[in-house]
Amino acid sequence: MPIGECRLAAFHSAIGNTTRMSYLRFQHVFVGLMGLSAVGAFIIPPRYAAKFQPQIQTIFAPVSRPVWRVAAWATNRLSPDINDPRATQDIREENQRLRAELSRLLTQLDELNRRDLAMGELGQKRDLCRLAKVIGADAGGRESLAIAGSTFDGLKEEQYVLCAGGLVGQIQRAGAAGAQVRLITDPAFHIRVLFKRFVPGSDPPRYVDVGTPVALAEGVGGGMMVVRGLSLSAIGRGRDLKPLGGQAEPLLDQGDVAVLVDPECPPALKGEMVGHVVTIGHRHDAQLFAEIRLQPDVNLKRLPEVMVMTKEN
Amino acid sequence: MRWLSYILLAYVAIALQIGLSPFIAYNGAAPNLVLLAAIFIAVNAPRDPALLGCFVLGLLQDLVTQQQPGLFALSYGLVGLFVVGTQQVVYREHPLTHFSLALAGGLVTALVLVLHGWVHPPSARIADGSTTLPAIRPSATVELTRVLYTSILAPIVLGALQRMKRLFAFQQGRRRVRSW
Repeated sequence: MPIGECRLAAFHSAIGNTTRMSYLRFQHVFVGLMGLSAVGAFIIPPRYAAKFQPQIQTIFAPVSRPVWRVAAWATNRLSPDINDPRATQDIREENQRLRAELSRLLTQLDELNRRDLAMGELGQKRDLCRLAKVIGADAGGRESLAIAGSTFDGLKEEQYVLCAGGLVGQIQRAGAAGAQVRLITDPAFHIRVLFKRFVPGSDPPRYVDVGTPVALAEGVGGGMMVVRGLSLSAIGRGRDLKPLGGQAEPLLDQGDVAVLVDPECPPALKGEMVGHVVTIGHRHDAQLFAEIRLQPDVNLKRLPEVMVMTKEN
Repeated sequence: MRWLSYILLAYVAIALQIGLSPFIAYNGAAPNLVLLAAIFIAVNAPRDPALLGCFVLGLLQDLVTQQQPGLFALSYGLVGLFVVGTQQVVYREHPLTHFSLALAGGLVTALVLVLHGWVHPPSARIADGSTTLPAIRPSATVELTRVLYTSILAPIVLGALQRMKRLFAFQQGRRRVRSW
């Protein structure tokens, strides 16, 4: 074999060996990493896996917060986010009544302020909570919020999270550099609710119990919750979804609201708004049961800040 | 590959994902910007850094989601393997390549997520008084919408990233081998 060809063969052999060895080593590492991630994803139960997850949400805040603000501003300008099923006329009338009610309450409040009595009562829930800025939403397909709060601020797992519109969710994980809030619309969230109806004509306007039993509301994703445990008869409807027994209207109807009554919740949260009824239909797997879809009054994934209930009483 | 540029890309992709997703979601499905970043790395970088880069992007995304840790790392690792395998036969700059790679990568990710949702549903079967409520599983329709949405965005996002690929110095490793 000529010298040139020998050198070339040696050169190729050297390159081939080096490359194959390095690929072999890297491939071992890569296969190991993939195996570990598969074990983490499919075999280890979620409650154990989450314990070893570092919380780094706050690190992304310098970019995600400004982006969030700009996107929220643009969205509000282009398509205001209103999940209100009421007719415009009803809203006007309700506003009028609420204005009157507000005037009356403000007068009372002035009186109470003078007597220095009501401040503690008014500020009760506020004092139990801690404000946390939202950094962003879930990076995957689930329903959660990353918030700029940490264990140093007193945030812990399972604490409830609120906003002006009602219940937002529960802290799922909290760490030194951020926390993740599981929204009430996430499929892993469930809570007991009671249905109520706003009675505008009464003085003062109030919410009354519609008469259905306490039910379990579960998140289903897509910004919705569902109640599947009530039979059609329990909500005053027949198989055709029309009111039972020739009554003018069923016990439960669209627009009725669901409020929190879960015995595991702190007492200060009882009666907190969860959402309003959007649709009522049959459960596809049990025709005698209702599938009641609920929607929170605000889009929870677009909240700029939330209140974390760090104290229970 | 220049790792500082990679870290910046990962940071911006994840921050944009969590900052923008609620505002650009269509029918509950937000596009997966991190997947596009992973495809960009996989289609340009040499094999080993590409695979590692995809895996780490998934791992970082796992930290800011409620999904089980490891799911996105596994998904993007598989996407990386697939895209790296096609490096020699695709035209990296072509929008159709970007669309098809995002479609294939999105389908792989969706498959892993839906499969996980079926094996470990987020809300398991639950007893409510005398009634047993079946488990709630993630919607395959939402995942498919996400895949399509991401694929449609891919030519724009990957096109823009391709213009910046000099910052990543993808060819450095290969050049060294050739010159030697």
